[in-house]
Amino acid sequence: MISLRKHWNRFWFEAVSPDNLGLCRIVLYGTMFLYYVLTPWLFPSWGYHEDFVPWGSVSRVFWSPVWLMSVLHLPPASTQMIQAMQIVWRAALAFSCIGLFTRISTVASFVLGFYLFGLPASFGRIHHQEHVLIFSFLIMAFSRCGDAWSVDALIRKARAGTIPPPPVISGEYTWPVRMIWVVIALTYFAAGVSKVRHSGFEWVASGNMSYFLMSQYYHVSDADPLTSLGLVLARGSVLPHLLAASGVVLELALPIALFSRRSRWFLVPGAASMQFGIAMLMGPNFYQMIICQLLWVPWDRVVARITHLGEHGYRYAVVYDGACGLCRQTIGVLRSLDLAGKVEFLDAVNEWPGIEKRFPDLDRNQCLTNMQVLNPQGKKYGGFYGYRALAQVLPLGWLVLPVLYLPGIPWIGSRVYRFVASRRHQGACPLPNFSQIPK
Amino acid sequence: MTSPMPKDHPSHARLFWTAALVTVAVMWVVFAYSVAPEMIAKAYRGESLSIFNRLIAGQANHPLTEYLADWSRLANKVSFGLGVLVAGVLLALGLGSGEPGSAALESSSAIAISRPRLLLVYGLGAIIFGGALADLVRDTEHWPFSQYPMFSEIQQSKTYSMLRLYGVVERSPLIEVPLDSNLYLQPFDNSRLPPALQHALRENRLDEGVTDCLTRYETLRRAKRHDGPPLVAMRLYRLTWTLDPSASNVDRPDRKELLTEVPPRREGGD
Repeated sequence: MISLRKHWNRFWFEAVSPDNLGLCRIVLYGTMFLYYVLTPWLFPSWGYHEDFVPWGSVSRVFWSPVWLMSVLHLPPASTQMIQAMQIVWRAALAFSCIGLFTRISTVASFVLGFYLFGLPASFGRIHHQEHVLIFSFLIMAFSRCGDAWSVDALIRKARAGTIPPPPVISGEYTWPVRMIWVVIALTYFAAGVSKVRHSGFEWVASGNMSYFLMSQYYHVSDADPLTSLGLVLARGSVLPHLLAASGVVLELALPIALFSRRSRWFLVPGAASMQFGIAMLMGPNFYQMIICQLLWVPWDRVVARITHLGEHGYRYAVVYDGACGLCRQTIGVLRSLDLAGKVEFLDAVNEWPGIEKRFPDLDRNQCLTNMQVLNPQGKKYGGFYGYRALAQVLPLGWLVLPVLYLPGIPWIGSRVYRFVASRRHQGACPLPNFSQIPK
Repeated sequence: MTSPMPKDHPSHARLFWTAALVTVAVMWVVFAYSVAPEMIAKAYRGESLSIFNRLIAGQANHPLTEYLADWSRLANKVSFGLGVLVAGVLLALGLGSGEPGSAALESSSAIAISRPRLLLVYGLGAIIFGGALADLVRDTEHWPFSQYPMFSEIQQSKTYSMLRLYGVVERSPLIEVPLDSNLYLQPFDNSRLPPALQHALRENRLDEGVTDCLTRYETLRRAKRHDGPPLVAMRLYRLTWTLDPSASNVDRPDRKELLTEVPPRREGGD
């Protein structure tokens, strides 16, 4: 029993860094934001399912609230109200993805998502695509998923300055991802149990799968099959049974992936493939559930692998004014954004002798006035142009890099930089007295 | 020289409990589906031990098959419960089998989380998994909890039956088209609309529901959200097909039973 307890605690509360949870947050909310914004537009033949606004105009004759909607006495809202909720919900998904106001945005993602997902389910039939999402949003809302890889974390680091805070590890960063895993595994397991309970071995041995494959081509589903391959398979004598057997086995076996890393390599892609196969052969799509399978990926290791690759080869150098509070905050943020380890940060106040030896062309006063960036070839960039050079090596900078090259932007950027730099003379961040700076 | 495995080695305990559970499960299956029906039959005929014979006293009103069916239902429920229990215990016992790094287990076994937060996590888990397991065990659905019953029932019939709306393009001569594209009545689709119409039928408000569908169809058509023809009326049919391996009869159901039409056809029409 002691061993079991240890395993239990390790599974749920192993002390780890917040990186994986933060990255899972980005993956979950980012993919769902894109999914719910883009699919109605890109795939109008079935993507209208992901636009909840039309439900506001459906007659109340069809309203048959699902259990929790009924218990909470939630009525069908008007079109305008649903539209407003959907806009806020999508914004909450985006904010949750980038980790801005993370607690509020994740709670809003869950609460509004719960209502929006419950609406269609209360008009006739429950589809099961969003169940895992609802629980994932609920779990994330209670978690500390904004502690890393978030704008909130960047703001905290900016406030802390260049001094990197001690690395935090906690069980807080393990349980949310594990709980989502269990939700996913339990969902599949329950579907497998339902088949065994209602139909037993007959589900595999009878002509059941052939029937399902054929009937779906009579326009009975929420989406028509993507191919006509299902009809071909339905005519086979062995393949339908094999499909049925592999489906049930996969569903019942998915909980094993919770405990066995090796089995994850085939069970998780197997489950995702099965659902993609259902869309291909039968029509109903479970894309949200397929996307949720991405949360099995150890994203912290993936990123570590990528950044490890970046540690080799060329590096940029940033020389900044270490006596300036604003500069230190900026460097704190830049350091966090340097995922690939391509940038070396050098303090012109406290590390000048070493800097001078490596870069004899650098002028110290210039470094203390404008942040200087040196590329691997030794070319020097100051102020706005320094930021633009950095945008080439900071992954997040790639998003804005094209904009920084637009005509007029360098002119505006340089003036904004000079405006901010000149303000350093006032308030809490005066330029240092050069006579007091250590030589 | 290798040291012998200690008696309390975890793998021994796992092996013991696994073997015990499998043995119990096998014994139950043999008893429930082989021994017990035979015992019931003997007791029904008064050929068993007197203590068992006395348990069955309704031979005059209930045939043997009824007793056997009752037992079968009970046995299935118990089997299912035991199956879930065994699966859960086996999973729990197998916790450590796949994860490497058992040496690190000792140091990482302490919970690295504050007590109030720990209670919160357990509370959250109890709600999520309690609800999910309750529905799973009881075979019920309480959205957002579910036993995920989709496609779980055996369907061996050669026929398929469903409600479908048809659009009446012209009354005389009658021209009607099946509204089988999901785009015609969005946000409804062919999966969600029939049960919604069934609901309206149960509420005796079917015409109101079909009228809403007609309005929706026309609104979407005018907004160019689909390319269906303009309609003068809408009909609801119950369709029955004999399934064809190539689905070639999808537009020619075997039976079409008209349930309602809106706006209602006037006398002497078409």
